[in-house]
Amino acid sequence: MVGDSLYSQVLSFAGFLPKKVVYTKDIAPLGSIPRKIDFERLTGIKSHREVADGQDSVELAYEASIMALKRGNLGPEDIDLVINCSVSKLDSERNQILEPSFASFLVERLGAINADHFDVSNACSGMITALKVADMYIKTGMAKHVLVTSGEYTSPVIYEAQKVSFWLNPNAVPSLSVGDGGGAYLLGVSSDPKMLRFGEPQTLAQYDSYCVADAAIGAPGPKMRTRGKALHKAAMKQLIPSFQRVLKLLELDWLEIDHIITHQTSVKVIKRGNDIAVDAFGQCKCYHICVDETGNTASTTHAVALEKGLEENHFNAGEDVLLHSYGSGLSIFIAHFIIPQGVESW
Amino acid sequence: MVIITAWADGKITAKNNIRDCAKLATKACKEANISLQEIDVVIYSGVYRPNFRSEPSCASHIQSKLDIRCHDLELSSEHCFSFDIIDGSRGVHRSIQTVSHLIEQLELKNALIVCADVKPSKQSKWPYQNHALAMVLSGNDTGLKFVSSEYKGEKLSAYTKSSFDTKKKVSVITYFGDSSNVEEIKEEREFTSDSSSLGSVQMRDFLLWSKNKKGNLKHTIVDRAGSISVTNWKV
Repeated sequence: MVGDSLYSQVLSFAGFLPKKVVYTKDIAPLGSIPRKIDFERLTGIKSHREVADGQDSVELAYEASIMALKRGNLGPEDIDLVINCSVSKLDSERNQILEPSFASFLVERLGAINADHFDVSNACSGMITALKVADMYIKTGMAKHVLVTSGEYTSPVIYEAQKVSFWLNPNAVPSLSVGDGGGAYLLGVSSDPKMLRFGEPQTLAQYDSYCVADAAIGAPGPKMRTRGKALHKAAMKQLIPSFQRVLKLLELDWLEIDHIITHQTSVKVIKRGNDIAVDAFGQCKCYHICVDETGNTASTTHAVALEKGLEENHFNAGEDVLLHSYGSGLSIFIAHFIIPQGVESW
Repeated sequence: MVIITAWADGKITAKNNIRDCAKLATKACKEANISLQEIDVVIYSGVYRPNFRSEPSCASHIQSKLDIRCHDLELSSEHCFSFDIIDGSRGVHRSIQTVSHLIEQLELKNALIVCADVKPSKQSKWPYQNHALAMVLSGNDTGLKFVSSEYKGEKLSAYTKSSFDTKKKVSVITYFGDSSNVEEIKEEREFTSDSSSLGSVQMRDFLLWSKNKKGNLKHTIVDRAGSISVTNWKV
């Protein structure tokens, strides 16, 4: 290490999708949503993945974590700290893990015997928030290797929504857009301050009631209610200022960023966001979309998009990636990192 | 290094928990002699939320209720950041640790930590009281100074989950395993909290004990699973 300053870097990342494919036309067939809305056409989501019997949030996070550890050439015993940021935290019976933390269950599952552990909860911005918290632990020397992970078993909100009347509960419709998935990032120490950096974290709490998930009524598992249009409008309003601020803070040139990954809510929203960004900054080199095949996998969407990018050989070591997250709250947080060496062999 | 500049605690209701937490936060800010708009970050560290809420963060609800910098993003507008930290009873220590990092590394001025727990559903067994503690922390004052913290995990011997009561048709808390039982220990410079209480009460008891103390102090929290957090303080 050169000098006294410690910085963090992404050593590896992984996204995991369960095998079961469920098609949008089966969960939201034409005629099931008022005003003859074609949900697949509205969102561009053709399918999503769902857990198999016995799989749960812990298992999804575990699978992604194991892949990230393998790619980073580390074992579970090498990890000092595990930070989990799952929103769903459901076991296979759709029970919510409460105390002490979801991370404590994952540490046991991984056999990460030397790892400290806790949860960060910030809806779909949880992963970027947890990356920032991990970065701070590395910078202070409290940890050398941190696993930031999430398992999102979110599909129960689809089936809860299907049981209610969309005429009476239009805010249940956006629940049909989710999917299950896992994500993990392995962070390590770096002497280079530019390997992993962050924009300013912001919560625009005037929108805190726009997307809320509670226990379902009369059935196990959660329900989610979203003011979809209003939330979309609020998010779009912040898009350009949020990019402008991070470009200025991190001294980045929009046209030089190799990969841009925004929160995967719907194909239409991402494309519209790209159009707005093109007007403001010009066409970026590459923006990623995977939501058409995965649905919105909550806090894991960026990791799942990165995994899809890996499968399609989009990434080379040394390229940079901008992760733009929106979470209900409304939380906005952006991370920028450099793709690690060895990515081509993953 | 961060200092707890003021705090307030009290009973809260499940129905109006956010309003009640906001009242305590306002009281703490008033005592700290800062306006709510000077809060840069809000962290919520409770485990049990009304109706098992999983999103958004309770911190964002509190920020909203307090109306802290609730405006749209502009090129140079100032904002607050909110999120939750969950680590059983140790969550309150973990939040203080995180705030110390945030204040040092992001050069923030003031942070609000709210540690609160409420009975998630009326039908749940609940051996605790609905309680909240709001603390204002800052990087540039005199008072109870946070120095460092250590965490020691144990095998997961006790934990809680929600479960669906098929007769009552509602989600309730289910307790698993044998929880650790550590009674309150008060020594000259060390305070170990009663592990049968939740985090907000454990921290409140330490803050009460630390009044009029000088020098180096130590606070230990043991959670239900037996995991330990130790924080070191200086007055």
